[in-house]
Amino acid sequence: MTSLLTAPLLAFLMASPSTSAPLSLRAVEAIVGQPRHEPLAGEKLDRETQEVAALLRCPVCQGAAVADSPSSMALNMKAQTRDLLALGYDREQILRYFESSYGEFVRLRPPLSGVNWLVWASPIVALIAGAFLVWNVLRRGESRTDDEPQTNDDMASYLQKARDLSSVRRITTAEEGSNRSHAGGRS
Amino acid sequence: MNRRILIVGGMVVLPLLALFFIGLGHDPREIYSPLIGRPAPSFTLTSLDGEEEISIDTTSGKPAILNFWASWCAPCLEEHSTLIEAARTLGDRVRLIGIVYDDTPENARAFLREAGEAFPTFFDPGGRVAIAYGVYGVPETFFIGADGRVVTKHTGPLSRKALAEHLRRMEEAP
Repeated sequence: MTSLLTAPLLAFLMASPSTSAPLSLRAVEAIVGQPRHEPLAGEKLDRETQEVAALLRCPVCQGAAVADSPSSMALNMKAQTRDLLALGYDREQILRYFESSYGEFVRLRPPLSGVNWLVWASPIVALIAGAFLVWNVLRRGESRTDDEPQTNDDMASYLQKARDLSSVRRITTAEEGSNRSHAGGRS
Repeated sequence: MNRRILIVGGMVVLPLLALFFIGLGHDPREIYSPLIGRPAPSFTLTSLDGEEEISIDTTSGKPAILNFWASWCAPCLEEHSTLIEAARTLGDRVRLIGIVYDDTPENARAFLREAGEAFPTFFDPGGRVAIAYGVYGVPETFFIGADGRVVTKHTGPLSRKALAEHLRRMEEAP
């Protein structure tokens, strides 16, 4: 059944230009080219597989690395990482390959470029802005204690006004008093 | 002082508002795929009986639909009749290929016996093809234009209406 269906498909598909790489690898080659490193084996391969898997995010897990996830997708990705390392692909090539299908999201340590700069720089910028704000407020507080008489100008004039007013009242009460005595004197 | 608060507040609030309105324009069900618009990866699969290896070159000049499914996936069963119908109506114009994801060949064969088989289906040992296409889960369906580029991707079961929309976009693509 299957072969009956695939036979024409095969004939159709095999008429494609052949390159040196098997098609299973062509997807990788199309993205990252030829291996740049020497093929790894044995203990070195184990160690590097673990390290690269720790840099990859398992796409279907909640923020877990491929190295730490028992999901079949993580196991598949780890197995492919191992195969690619054994072929001589280096760490950056492998990360770039997975990135091409899952996006930068797949990298647990995204490179410092483009919008990512914002993520790294914004805490520093916020810290500097905060420090400036605090310094500014402190400085203003200091200057306020320094020239108190100046900043209390408004208050001084207000007090002066109040004093003037009370002296006016004093005078009027004095006048009233004198008037009363005067009247009293009359009666 | 009040003006300063207004300026600083605006500097904080306005970008957030802008992001909010940009976010409103997104379809939350659409999972971002870096593959859209890029050449579809070519790949090798094995037949369900495990006897043949088949290489699929996406640059062969014919539009293709790749459907990733599994026998343990209920929505896959739900969309299977839509795909069978599509395979019959599209005939030679479009290649429809089923790719079994994270499953055993026995279960996949049992699924096809029950649900029907109208297009070639292959096994993806090690999930290599699924990784190359950035598959998160099943079902996921990729629509590849005649120029070998991924035109659209559908996540979740494919309804007749959604399929028609994807086919329209695939055929409109250069």
